Amino acid sequence: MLDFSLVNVLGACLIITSMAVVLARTGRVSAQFYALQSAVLVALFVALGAVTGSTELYLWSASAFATKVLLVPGILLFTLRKVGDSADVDLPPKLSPMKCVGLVAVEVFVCFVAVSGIDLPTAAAVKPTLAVALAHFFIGLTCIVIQRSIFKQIFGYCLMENGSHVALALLAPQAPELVEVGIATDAIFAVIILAVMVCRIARTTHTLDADDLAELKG
Amino acid sequence: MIELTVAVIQVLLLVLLAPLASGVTRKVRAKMHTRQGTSIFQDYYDLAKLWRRCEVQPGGAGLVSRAMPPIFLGTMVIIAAGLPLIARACPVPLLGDVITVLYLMALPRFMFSLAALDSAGSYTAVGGVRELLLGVLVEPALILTLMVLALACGSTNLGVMADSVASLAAYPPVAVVVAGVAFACACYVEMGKLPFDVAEAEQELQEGPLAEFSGPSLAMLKLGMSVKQLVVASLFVAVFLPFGAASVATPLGLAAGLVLFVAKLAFVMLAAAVIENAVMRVRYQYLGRYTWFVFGLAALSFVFLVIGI
Amino acid sequence: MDMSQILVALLAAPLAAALAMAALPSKSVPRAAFVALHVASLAAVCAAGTALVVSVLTGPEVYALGAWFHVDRLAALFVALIAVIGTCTGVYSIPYVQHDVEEGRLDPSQVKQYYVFFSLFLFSMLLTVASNNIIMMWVSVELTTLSTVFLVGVYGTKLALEAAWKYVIVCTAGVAFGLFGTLLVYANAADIMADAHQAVFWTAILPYAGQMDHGLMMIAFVFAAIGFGTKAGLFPMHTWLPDAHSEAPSPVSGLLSGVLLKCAMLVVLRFLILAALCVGPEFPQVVMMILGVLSVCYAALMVYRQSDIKRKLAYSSCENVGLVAVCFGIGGPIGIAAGLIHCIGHGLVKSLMFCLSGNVMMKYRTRDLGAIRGVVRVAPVTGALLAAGCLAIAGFPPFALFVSEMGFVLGGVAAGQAAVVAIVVAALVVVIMAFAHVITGSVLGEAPDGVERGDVGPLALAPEAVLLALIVWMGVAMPGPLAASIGDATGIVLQQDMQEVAHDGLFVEISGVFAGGAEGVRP
Repeated sequence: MLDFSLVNVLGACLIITSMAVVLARTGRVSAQFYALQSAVLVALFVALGAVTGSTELYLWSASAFATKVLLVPGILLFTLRKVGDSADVDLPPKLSPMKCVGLVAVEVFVCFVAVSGIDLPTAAAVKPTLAVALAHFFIGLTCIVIQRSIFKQIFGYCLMENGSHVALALLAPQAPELVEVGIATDAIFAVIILAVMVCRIARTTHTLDADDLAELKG
Repeated sequence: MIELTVAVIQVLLLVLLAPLASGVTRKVRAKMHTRQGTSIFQDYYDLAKLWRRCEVQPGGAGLVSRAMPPIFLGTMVIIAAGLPLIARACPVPLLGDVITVLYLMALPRFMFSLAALDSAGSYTAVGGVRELLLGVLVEPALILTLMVLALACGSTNLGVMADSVASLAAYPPVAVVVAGVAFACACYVEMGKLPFDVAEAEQELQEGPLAEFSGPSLAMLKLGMSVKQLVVASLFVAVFLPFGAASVATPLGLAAGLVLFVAKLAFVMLAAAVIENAVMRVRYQYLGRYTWFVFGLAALSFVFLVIGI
Repeated sequence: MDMSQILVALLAAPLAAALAMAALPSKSVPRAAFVALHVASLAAVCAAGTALVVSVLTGPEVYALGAWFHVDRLAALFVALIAVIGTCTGVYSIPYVQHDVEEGRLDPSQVKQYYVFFSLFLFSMLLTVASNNIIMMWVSVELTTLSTVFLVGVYGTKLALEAAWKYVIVCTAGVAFGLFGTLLVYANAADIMADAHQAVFWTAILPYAGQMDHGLMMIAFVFAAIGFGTKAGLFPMHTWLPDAHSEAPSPVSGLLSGVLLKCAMLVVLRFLILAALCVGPEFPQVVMMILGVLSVCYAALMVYRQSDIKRKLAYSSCENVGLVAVCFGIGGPIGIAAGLIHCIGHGLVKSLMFCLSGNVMMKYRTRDLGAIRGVVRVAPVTGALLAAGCLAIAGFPPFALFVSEMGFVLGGVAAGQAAVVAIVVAALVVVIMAFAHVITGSVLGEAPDGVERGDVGPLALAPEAVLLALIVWMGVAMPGPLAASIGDATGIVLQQDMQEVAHDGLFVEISGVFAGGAEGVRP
């Protein structure tokens, strides 16, 4: 059981949880699904570490647990509390659930086709998961584009970051921890600043609707 | 020989349990509405009473209306005979093919709608049309999920599929799981429980097509519809939850398989009953949203299958 | 003092100033204290930057902190750009912020925010240009986004916050693409190189670039071009640019347009060098050409349409960055040299124009070009500088952009890309029309009644004069060391010895023209 197929199974669970993040109705539920998705990510790192025998990956999974499972959802839930009643956070996305799911399926498929051309020794057995990592990019981008509430657009960015982390872990498991720490720290700062911006916008304009915040045109 | 016995047992089981299942569902609804509710055996008494009554048919009704109830019940019985419920193999291999089952499930729906139109009543016609609509919307998801499972297990025979899933040999695993979830949703829609009971729609359509039947025909139809619900649930249990079914045809194994099957079926029907009583009927124009979402899930499982995850 | 220590000091000074300013409370401390720390930061950057650049242009490359920081002749050009433009816009900020405080548009906490993030912004740009660690390159590009978000939204109005949000979400999402490209390069290099820990350093990857997997490198370059191209403002990832650059305070807009876009182009250039060594120069050049031509054409039309002066200048930045990309797409010594000259020249010109637009806004209190008329009557010096600036942007001689645009045309024709040159020149004509219209409509004409006559203070005019002088100097007689350093930088991009390049007859002639009669490129 403990071989690359476990990694692939966890990769598929990543897709399912990402879809849940995108489709969730309220911001709170999205944050909880994101914590779940990050937990699957940590499990993926552990599995990959066990399979490739790389001790750095265990350290990565620890730091990923601290930042992605605890810190980022914590920051986002805190932001929800700070925004409070000043603006309506939970707006429905612009695309119906079926089209979202269909789009995600298409993206995963296209990424798989793109990835089958890559020829790296470390990547041979885990090609499906590499496709999943690449697909996360586009799923995150989809989330940013279709969400009407700018609070939920933050999740799109977080999904893209998760995709890059998984890609790095798959392609270069022996990388020094400093690389991972650097990327993770930057991601945390980005989330903090996005959250601060959301608070300010909610306080000043009393709306978090991206359509309302589109006065500047052309 | 033993397969024939198993088939007969399966048929008798489902036909005899069907009124009990609908009775229990009604009791659960009553309890959830904090009412007392009727006895769980009420449907048996109803069927016996209806059987004794004489039959009245609307003026313009023809052969189709007379033939429909027996065909409905008969088809459901035939499907029940072919499913791998108790054992991990189909009692009647001829009937155990996925494509055969899908066609057999489409036949009663078609006859039902045809009979609804045949009686030339306005409410019945609307009910018949909605039944067809539901069929059109839910069939793609059903077909796609069963196709995914067939590809994952390497055969279209339901018995082989059940065996494959039970021994965890179905590859790739996540595709099978997602297909299972999609199939569960599609089966719930197919069962015609709230929020998808658009054909009968008691408050809207005055029982729809059922209004034009009486006496033994109505008894057969009601029994057939209850059996259909059980058959659809059994299909899901047989293919995606085959754990515990007998792998070899020993009497002890078959007995154990029977008990476990009844337990699994009861669990599934109970879950369906709870969900049914927590929601209200969906407007039939919005039916498409739910069914397309289920189809999206099925498509996702197909993508997982293709990429080998 | 050792040059690597100067490099560390150059990076540390603005960071220290930013942290010091952040520690001071905004309400009780007078504005003069923040201004003093700000000026100190600018002085340190200017001094250290100049010392470093002079040293690198005449001597060896500088490494600092192991191989983490590395300033070669290519990076030195950009360090000089940051130092010069940073100082000029920083000095211009002082009267501009004072005017905004008097108008009531900025309260003390926003003033503190402005100065803190200004220094942080300078720090992040220096980090981008000087870093050798490809992961840190990405981190510092992210840092530039994060440090400028609050500068763009400093006024706190609905439009400013909207522009800031669009900026941060589009840029962080876009730069995440750049991260993916970086990771692909890193993973590929770590696979090939003996010591995987060295695979983060650009200078260490360079010798191995030829052995990397072709398909992977192509995908990585496309991702890097899209990702860092978002930060540079290339079409179709430019959507944040007009909003962010028009809603930010004018000196910040000047710094964003003039320097930040070029730093992002430098990062793209670093990836282009790796890709060209791996798969040959044709593929990266095609990618850059496509992005560049689309940017130039789309932005030129939009420049013409705008009636808001800052949005006009912002779209002009898109167009010029597109032109830089086309120059890199044409490739060869002339193309690359023209691109680098355009980077420097446009940086100077755009910051000049944004500072002047700040002056105009201070007098007229509006950004609408329809209401801005007769600048030369209301504020004569500003008007004259504005006219000169418009001519400079349009690419007229004797200004710097004429040199680079001529270089582009000659290089494009010499490389056989006459069709591309024709399309781009047509777009440039549209830009000339747009800015000629600015001169006739806004600089000249009757002054409206409600505007007070008399120019802005000298502190708001001195930086622009300095910038204009530099532009004219570059355009008329580029100093020998600068021409030589551009030649060396071109050599780094092409990964060729400049001796070979210097034997290219056309290049020698053109560079002779660039340097205004000097002997051209000294090998």
